[in-house]
Amino acid sequence: MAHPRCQIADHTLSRRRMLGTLAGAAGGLACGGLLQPTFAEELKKSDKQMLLMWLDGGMSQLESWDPKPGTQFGGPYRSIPTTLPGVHLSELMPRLAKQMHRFSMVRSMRTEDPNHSSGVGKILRGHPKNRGVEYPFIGSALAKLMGPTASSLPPYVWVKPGNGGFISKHAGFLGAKYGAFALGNGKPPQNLVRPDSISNEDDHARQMLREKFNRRYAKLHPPNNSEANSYVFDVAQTLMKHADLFDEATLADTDRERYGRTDLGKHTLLGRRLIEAGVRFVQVQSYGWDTHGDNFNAHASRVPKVDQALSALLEDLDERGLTERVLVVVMCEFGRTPRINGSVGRDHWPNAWSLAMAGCGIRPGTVIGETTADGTDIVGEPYDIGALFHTWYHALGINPEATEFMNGTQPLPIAHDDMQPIRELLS
Amino acid sequence: MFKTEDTTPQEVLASHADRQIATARFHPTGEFLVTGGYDGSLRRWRIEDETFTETASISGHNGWIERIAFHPNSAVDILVSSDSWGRLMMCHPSGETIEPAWRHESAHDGRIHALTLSADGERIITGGQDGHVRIWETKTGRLLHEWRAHESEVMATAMHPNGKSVVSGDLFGNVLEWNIESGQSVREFDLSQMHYYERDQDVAGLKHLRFLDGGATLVCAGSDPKRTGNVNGIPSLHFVNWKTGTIDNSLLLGDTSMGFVFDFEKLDDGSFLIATSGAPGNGRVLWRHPTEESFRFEFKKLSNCHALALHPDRRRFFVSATNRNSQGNGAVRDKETGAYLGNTSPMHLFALPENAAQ
Repeated sequence: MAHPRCQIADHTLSRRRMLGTLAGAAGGLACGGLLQPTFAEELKKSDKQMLLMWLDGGMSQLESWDPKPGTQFGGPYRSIPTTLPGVHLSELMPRLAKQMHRFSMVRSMRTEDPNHSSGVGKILRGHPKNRGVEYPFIGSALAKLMGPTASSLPPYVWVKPGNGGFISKHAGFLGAKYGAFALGNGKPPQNLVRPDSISNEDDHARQMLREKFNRRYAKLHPPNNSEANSYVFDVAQTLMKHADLFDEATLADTDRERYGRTDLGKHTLLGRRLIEAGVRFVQVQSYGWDTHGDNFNAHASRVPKVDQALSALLEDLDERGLTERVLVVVMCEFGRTPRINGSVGRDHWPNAWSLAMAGCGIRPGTVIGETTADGTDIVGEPYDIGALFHTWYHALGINPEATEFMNGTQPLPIAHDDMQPIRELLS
Repeated sequence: MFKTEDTTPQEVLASHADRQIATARFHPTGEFLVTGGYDGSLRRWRIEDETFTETASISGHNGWIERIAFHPNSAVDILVSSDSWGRLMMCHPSGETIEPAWRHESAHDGRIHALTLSADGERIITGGQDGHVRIWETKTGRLLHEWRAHESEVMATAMHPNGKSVVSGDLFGNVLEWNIESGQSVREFDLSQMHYYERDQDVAGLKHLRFLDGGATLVCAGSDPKRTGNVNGIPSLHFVNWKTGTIDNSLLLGDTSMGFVFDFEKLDDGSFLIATSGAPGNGRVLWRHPTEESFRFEFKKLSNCHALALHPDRRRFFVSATNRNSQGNGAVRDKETGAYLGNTSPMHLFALPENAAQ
């Protein structure tokens, strides 16, 4: 995707140096942390959106995107052909196998961190160079770079099992305001809808009182905190206008069946509805993929739920004409070891794993990279997560070579500055 | 290393398989042991004076071989084996080179979890990923009966010694009795404690169904699972009174780190030899009588035991475990060649004390 103003990427460093020298705090902040104000405004007008399905703990590539049946480490399951000649998926993904022409995979992911605690953050931040600051998760980054869509709905919504709330820490140096609005168990915040017993007049009075308290709070707290505090109320107000999103009575039974009556199915369906309503970035979370024990039965139980929910989502985006503007990514913090441990499980494996994506300028039916016959190493060029961030930013219309975050007066690249997008993935 | 009292089992042989063993059984003559592997291998091992000597392996499988069974009549020399790609095979395993006497490429659609023989060895009962139960004629491979038994995966099957009923148990711990002739379910046993659901994952605890005491007792073996993801649970044996359909007794064999009963054998005095595998490095060889308060033998030095087989002399038994440090993130490589290393299976032969359990 070409930059609307600047077609030359080669001068990036000189511009960064210039910005650093000028330390144009006022200008930098005024354009929302982006290098060029016009570009920033263009981005905010963009209708592109993203849905990330995050499989927390690490799905096995061997029981999903990159099966190696009949080998020492291949596990019990077979592979099945897909709609792409010569490309096979695990038999646990029969629906996606029929839609392989709609999405793409990278089978040559090599990342650095084999630990959950640090690895999750590194992957969701795109693992940029260490500059002594905490980078935002991708949802927060897009909330900053692209802002809300015309819907004014919160730009970063996290649909997850468990508790909800406003998760400011995802925003890193961007400031709390760009955190995740988390819908715990896919439910809206409690008391989202105004009770009938409160009249319009009373409600208005309550709003006035809240604003008064906000002003008082702002005087006593750092600007970022007060801004975020106010923002959360504003978001809740906006969500109140979309209460139907959470009204299960409006869901068609056929949709519930198609996505699956599982947490992941329900949350992916909500994710689709949030995207349709105009949320810029939705992260749908599935927990429990850390299958050190009983990996194979676990994947037999879990992977079909991904298969069902994701294939329904891809179908729906296609039917609604949203494929061209909604980027869908499925990933986790790493894959799982080829070797099978004594607990009949697989351990953490950042060495050679896979992820998948679709839509929004990603060339469909593309398979990037390959692993050895037994899945223990990458054949050819490995890709770190930074290259994928470059790719996804390009797909969303953001040129990482011409766009920077501003951390106060410090310009920072939005993706790893030594990496490039995977061009073969971009239409 | 091993207890020396004459009241405890003694290790009489130790060796090592270069690939991981999933299951093992002795030929009824006791002349050799057959192991099925997590690499699709079916291997034969002769017990020599000081080691297990491998002879030609048996080809014809893919995926995992989790269940094998010998016909009880040694004269017919029949081994039946199944794999996770749905293959079912019969061979005569004593020859120098072995060809399948018959083989079904798709006995089930996908993983076969369960393979047992009737008491006389003439029928094979299988169940698997496809939710079906099938009964086959052992000598010919002819399909005798089949029905869709469960909406979920069939994890275990067994035929009652009377030859008229089959039981099948599924992912959710539903155990059903089937009339073979009608293919109708006639009874249901609730073993739902052998199932656990959380965070979009079903954990199946049931691994084995076996009839004991001439059919008076049905044993449901495996685990009472307590966690998904990195699964854990309490290894368990539940004893169902066949007449009343109730669980008369349960042996819960430790804490949640101990995982699953992977295999077990009943001795003549009613006691059980049990192999368990649980959390990393956690495996036990247990000897326990259901009516006794404590273990006769609790051997903790093996790591993650997956197979246990009783020798026909009913005094010796084989256990396969997993090499130490089988867990670990990232790549484990050979220091000299740099080759990526898989895990292996230590092989152990124990002898019960003289006159014990006879």
